[in-house]
Amino acid sequence: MLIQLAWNSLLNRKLTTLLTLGSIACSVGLLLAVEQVRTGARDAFSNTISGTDLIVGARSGGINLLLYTVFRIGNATNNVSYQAYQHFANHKAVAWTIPYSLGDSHKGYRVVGTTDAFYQHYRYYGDRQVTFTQGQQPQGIFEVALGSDVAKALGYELGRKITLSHGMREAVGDAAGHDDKPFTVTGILAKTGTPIDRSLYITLYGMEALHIDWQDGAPPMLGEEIPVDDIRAETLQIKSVTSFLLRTHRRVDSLRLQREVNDYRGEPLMAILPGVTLAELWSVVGYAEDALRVVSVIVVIVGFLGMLVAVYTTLEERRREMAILRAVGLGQGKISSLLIMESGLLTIAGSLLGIALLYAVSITAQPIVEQHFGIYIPIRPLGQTEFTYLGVLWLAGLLIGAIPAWKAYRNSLSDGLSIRI
Amino acid sequence: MSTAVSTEAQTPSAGSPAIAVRDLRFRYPGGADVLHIPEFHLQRGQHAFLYGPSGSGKTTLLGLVAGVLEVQQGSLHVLGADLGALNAARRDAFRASNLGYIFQMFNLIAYLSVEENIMLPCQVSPERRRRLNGADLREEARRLARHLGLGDYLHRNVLQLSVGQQQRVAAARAMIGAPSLLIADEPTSALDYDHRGRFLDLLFERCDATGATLLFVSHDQTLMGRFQTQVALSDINRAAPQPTQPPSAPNGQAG
Ligand SMILES: Nc1ncnc2c1ncn2[C@@H]1O[C@H](COP(=O)(O)OP(=O)(O)OP(=O)(O)O)[C@@H](O)[C@H]1O
Ligand SMILES: [Mg+2]
Repeated sequence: MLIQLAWNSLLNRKLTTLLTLGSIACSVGLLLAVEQVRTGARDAFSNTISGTDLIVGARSGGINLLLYTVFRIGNATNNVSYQAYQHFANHKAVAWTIPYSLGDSHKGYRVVGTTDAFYQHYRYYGDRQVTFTQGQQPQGIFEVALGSDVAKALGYELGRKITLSHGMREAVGDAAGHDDKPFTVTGILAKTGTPIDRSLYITLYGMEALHIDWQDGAPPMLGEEIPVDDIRAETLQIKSVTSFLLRTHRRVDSLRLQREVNDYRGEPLMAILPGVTLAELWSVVGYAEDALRVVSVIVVIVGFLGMLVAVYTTLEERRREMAILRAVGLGQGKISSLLIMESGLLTIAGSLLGIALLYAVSITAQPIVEQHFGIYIPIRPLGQTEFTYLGVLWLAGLLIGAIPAWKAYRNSLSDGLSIRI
Repeated sequence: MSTAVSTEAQTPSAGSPAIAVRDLRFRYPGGADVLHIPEFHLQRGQHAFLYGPSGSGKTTLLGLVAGVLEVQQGSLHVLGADLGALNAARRDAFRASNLGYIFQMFNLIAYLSVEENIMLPCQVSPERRRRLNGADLREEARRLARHLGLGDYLHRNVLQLSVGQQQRVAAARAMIGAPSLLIADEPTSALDYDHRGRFLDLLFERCDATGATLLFVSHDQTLMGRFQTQVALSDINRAAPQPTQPPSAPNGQAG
């Protein structure tokens, strides 16, 4: 019966109730949205790579190695000689390796030189594999496959000829380009939701061919370029790779192999365990995550303060109502519970509305965000963290409701049955 | 409120007076005595008219009788129950099942319909609901409303009623489930002369029908003649009068 009263009383103050509900819904929605984006980002982040036991590169920082190999951010300071790569690729404990040769770009997108192993062995989100929506993997020296974002953003189709540029500069036909060696698009990769989508893929030979006539990192002089037709895979010699992914036959060998890489005598190398370094990297990102969370918690507190104000300020005009309820036989405890219930109903209805809001916004915003920012935010059901939040919120709502309830208790104690208008 | 609590509190012995006061004293926190009543009795079934100047403590006395205020000194028996011996929860249960209360004005809960307002006491008190003798609560509320000339207004928002209609709704709410004691604190002061008379007729008729005792407070001494018992608070109250308003306040004017 009290619930009924509380409900009716809220309905009676439609505008205040709606405004309060709105502010709670928005703040709860924001809190949940932050949580969604956070777990979504973390998930996408840690699922960028799977099935790889070690990442090997020239000795530098582990996070740097992870960044340029997996996320295609930053650059390697040194390369791994092809000989050292071969040494580990043929190691008896190693099942497969995926070599990457980085350093060139096309219109701001990175070009990755790799081998068939990439299309065969690379895994993300558990057991997902790289596949093609159109065409096939590059086989010839001057063939290129496009990540889905690249294909979409640049509007390229199969058969298109493109030129690659050295480093990360835009291809504007300057001297430091590879304008003399155009590549043909032979394949377009399916969307993965990882940095794979934002790169172009050529063969290791292709990468070597690009630089065949370069001297000491400088483009060939005019007239000294080696014509495309003269380049043959058999004549190309791969000198180095930037880094490589490695999978052992037995995962227990990973640590031993890691030590072996780190102690390799030929040149200074390092191997990292992707999971460990991902976690390390995430803990750096975690500060931003915490800041985001703090802000959303503050927004929630403000939302609840709004509710407190909304309920509290009506108490004065409701003294009469309280006296009537007292006269009818409600005890002071029940009067207090009535007010707590009002706050409770507001909290629960508000947070349910917030959840609805969250999903309504996510569903409408998802394609827009993906189209404009290239970020795919997965829509997920509420997880345990979210339910914990909601539980805490409901408790907080009741606790906050206790403040006007206490005030009403005091009022009815001093008012008795004398009604003030 | 549990039934166990209410049954004990509200089995008033039939022979006992409706109200029995002995040496009752009451003061608000930080104030002087508002009431000091050495002796006062009201027999059951009486229509009693209580009057006195504004600020003399009439409403305070009603609050004590209704069990909303706590007896501080002396004894107060209502329908045989010793209110001084009951804790707040039991007094609430006692009030819910045995008392009907009508305020001066604005008696109604704004967010409930006329019908819901009338049904309220029976929803609070299972005891009072039981006294409907199996009749449907909503039916009973409608019957009372029709009886008080409110048949067409059952689903109205109470704020759309005239003051006179509101007071009749309040009366219906006070009387549903046959409480033994009806308390009305200046219920007619907002009504015009005609409506006052009609309202009193209704109260008397209903009280006689159920045998309820009526304790009616008013400034309006023109009504006094219609009651069987008249009590001037100043006659029974020994506490020094509190001069809150000029004593020249004319009769019949709502305070
Ligand atoms: N809640 C309260 N707290 C403190 N003092 C109060 C309270 N209610 C009433 N009083 C004081 O107690 C005295 C008696 O008040 P009460 O309301 O009982 O008078 P009354 O006879 O009903 O007056 P009126 O005819 O104007 O309604 C007054 O002096 C009043 O100021
Ligand atoms: Mg009064």
